[in-house]
Amino acid sequence: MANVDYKSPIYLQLREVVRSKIEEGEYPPGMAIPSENELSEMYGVNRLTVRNAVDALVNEGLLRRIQGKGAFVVGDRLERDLDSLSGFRQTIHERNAEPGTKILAKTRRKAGGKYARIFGIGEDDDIFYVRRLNTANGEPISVEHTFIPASKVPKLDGIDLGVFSLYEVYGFYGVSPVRAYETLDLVTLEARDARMLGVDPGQVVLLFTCYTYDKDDDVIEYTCSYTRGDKCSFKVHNRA
Amino acid sequence: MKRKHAMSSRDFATELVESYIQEQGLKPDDRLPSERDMCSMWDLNRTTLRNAIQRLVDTGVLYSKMGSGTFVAPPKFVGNLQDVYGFSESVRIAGRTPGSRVVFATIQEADKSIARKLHIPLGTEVFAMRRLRLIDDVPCSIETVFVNMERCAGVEQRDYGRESLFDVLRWEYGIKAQSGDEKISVTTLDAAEAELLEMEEGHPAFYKSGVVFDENGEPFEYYRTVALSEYIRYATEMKAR
Repeated sequence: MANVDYKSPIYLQLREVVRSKIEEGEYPPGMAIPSENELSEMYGVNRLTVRNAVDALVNEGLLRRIQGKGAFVVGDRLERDLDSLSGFRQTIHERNAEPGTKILAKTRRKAGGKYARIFGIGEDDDIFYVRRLNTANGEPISVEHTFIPASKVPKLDGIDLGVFSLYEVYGFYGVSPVRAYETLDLVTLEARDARMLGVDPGQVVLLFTCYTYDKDDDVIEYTCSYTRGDKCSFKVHNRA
Repeated sequence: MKRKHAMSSRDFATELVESYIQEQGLKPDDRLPSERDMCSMWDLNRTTLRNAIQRLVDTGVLYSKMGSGTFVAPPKFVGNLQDVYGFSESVRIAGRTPGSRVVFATIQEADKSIARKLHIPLGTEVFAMRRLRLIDDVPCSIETVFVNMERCAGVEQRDYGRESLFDVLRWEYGIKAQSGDEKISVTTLDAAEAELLEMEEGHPAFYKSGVVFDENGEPFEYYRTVALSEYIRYATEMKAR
């Protein structure tokens, strides 16, 4: 900012240093900036000054502070939100249920035959696999298995999905979902999955399979979610 | 079997079987190798393979026949939830043969739930009909409809085993389905439903209910459908505007 110079308060100068590192990509979206201690040591300023500088950027929406984890760079937001458009809308039976998400696993792996075909990539190309548990008032509602080609979101390795949603991460990396196709089946759960969802083995759950496409019609995400039919139902609006 | 990827061994085995079907170019009704051969081909244990096969049976990729093995399933019928075609039309568009059997067709007084859905006073006469729906001669769903008769007197006199209610309303009475709200969940078959669908009582199925509105936004039909996931998969499409 032009009106910050060497005479400006130190916290304002530090704020501009961090801002330019974010803008120049030294601190990439989705990643944590150095801790308050580190910044205080790097610039020889006290921690309160660092706190003030970071607070200003948090208030501007450039950073997101997570208790006990640090401050993370927020990238560009997606303008469009597929979720709000059409398709299945989930209704949780319990009123005023507080939603929650827990990341159960996040790994990088080889695509293998099945996913190579889905994403149109090589069997030895990398994909990310993310498993999430969605809850309402702490009770399991669904388990989601998500697959993403690594080429679309190469930095996903370092991004904490407890801080940013996948949808936000897509926005940071210019991946823009324009279309999704979702199907619904009923499947039985075996013991391990049933335990995760808190149901009896052999219970039938809803399986949503969703292909999400970008503007080049590449599949950018493939998700299977196993959802308890006793906890929620789904609505669809149709039109001629 | 290598337990890498933080994925369950079942999920991994499922991938292997799906890949195999693609790579070998297997067609509907082609048989998979024996369980023993598949286990040794991929170094899987029997339970893992069976779990994987069960998952693929559930999702309509495979079917099992007692004593003769596991086969590639013909594709499930995909019902697009966002269009307002009637059943017969959708099935025909998919290149399959629709069938209908009328279980009952009668005039009855609207109870509270029907009256509310159709925005009519309690006790108003409605046309109530239940049909068993078939795809390629296989019973797939039971559809119960309640039609507000105010604008379609005489609608009960047709044979809906042969004719489409959708077409009769459209072409004889000028009532055109314009939009609908649909709710979908899971149910289990009761004894009567199980008998019609040739399944066991308590078998899981989709439960779908909804209201169809005409061009003026007036509700004219309320329906409740029980459908077998073995043969029908529902789909929606989302688009950014």
